[in-house]
Amino acid sequence: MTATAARIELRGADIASAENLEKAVVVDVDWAVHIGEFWVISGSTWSGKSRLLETAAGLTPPLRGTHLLFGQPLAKVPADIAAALRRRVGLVFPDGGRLFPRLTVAQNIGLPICYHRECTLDDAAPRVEQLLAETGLAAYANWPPMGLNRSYRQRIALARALAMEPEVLLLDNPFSGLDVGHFAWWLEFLGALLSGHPLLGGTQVSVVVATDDVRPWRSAANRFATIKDSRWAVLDATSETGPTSNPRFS
Amino acid sequence: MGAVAATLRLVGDAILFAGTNSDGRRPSHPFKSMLEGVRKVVNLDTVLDSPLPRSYTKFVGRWLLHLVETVRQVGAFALISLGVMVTRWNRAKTVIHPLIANQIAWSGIGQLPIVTFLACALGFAVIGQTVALLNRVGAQDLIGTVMVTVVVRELGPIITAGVVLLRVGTATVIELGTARASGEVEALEALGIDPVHYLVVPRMIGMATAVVCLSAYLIVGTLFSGYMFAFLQDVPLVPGEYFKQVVLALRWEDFVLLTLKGVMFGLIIATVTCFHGLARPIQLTEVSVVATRALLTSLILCVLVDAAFLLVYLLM
Repeated sequence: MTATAARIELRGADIASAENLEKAVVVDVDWAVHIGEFWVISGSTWSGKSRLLETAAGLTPPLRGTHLLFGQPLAKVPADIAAALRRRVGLVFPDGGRLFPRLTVAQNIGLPICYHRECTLDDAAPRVEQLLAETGLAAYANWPPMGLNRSYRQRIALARALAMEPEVLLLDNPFSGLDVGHFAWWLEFLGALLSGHPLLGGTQVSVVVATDDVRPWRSAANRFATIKDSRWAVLDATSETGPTSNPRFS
Repeated sequence: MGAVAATLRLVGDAILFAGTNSDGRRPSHPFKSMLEGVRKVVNLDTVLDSPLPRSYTKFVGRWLLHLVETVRQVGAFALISLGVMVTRWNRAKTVIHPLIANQIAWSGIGQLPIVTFLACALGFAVIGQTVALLNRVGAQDLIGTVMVTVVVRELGPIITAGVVLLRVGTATVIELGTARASGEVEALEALGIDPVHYLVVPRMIGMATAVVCLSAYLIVGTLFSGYMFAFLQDVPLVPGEYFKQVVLALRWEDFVLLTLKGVMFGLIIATVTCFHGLARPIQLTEVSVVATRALLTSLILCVLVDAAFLLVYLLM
């Protein structure tokens, strides 16, 4: 698994705070995400999980250290190549996914396709319909996203992130505010993405979830890490040090 | 005057009293000096008798420095936006072109009713009365020159800019400020969509086009409605003579400068409102403050640009 180049790699990275870009919120992160890995990163509120994901996605550069996407240092490649690399990483925001309220559900999902592939929404319709069907949103294609509850908005955000067929999917607190009934669907769907979902042509997607409650993810994930007191620590997922008994899990 | 001063002095004393501690002692030095300052300002006699206080000059200086800094930041934002407009001109046409069309429809066609109303009001207030007055003093030959100077060169573009600023600029800064506060900009970035390309460029093109077109519409409407009001006042001026004078007073430079002015005003309104809405992370509660600041900055910059154009007209 580790013989191939990591899809995302942070070496000795300090993660900048959202409030003060010159201050580190997480220090000394050494982390690599490989194919077939399902990471769960735990940490309390304001511990820097979201900033870590935004940095991993290439939205914010680390204060210190190296950030590689698919083996290439993001800070040193030309802007257009960096943009292309970033598009191979999907990021799903928390609390309803930061959807565009003036667009319909289908337009939200179709926007990245139309923008990057220079096509109209009609041209992108088959792909959008496929995404809608797989995420159980087909009936709501023409709804405004704010007309749906948060559980469905989170699914729209997932479908939008999958529109560009990412190889790594970063999910920031996806269960925040979700109805419990949706948990099983998410776990099953993410498991399918991990093993190669037909929606993405069978490509195995690496999944990273940041959460403040690790319990729903215990059975789904195969790698665990935590952020505590601004420190990054990778945890062994064996029965002895796994999330159930390890005190470093918050 | 004495009663007013006494009242104000009383208010100053009340403020000072409110600043005392619970044990009746005066507050610590900085607070005390501030309250003393308040009392001096509140005391009208002191203000009227004393030379310009240093605090006033400091206030004006600070305000000017803040304005210069804002202009510098807006200028940098405008250059970035123009750079994105040029380098991505042909990118994502299927997404950006409909946005431009929507912006033109909203900023331009959507404002036609209010511009029509203003054209009628302006025609009545300026032209109707001016034509009647010039006829009364026997200066009918100056009608064309006055119309072109007042309506075509000055009032047309600046009033149109005001309409677009108030009706579209306000909505833009609130819309973008809300989008920024709710994290939509980060969502665009996460999807690989350049927020400047998606949010700013269509607004710049749309508002610049709208101000130019609406200015022309307002000017034509004003000239027509103005003649109608003059006609209703029984001014002995035939339509042919009136429009002949206007046409003869127009020069080709007027068309070029009118277009340039409209483009500049549109770009200023779009850039400033987008800058204030997007440039830095804001909370939802800050949107109203940012909107007010954007309107004021846009207004000041439009007036400054208008003054610069005045110099060009004087040199013509």
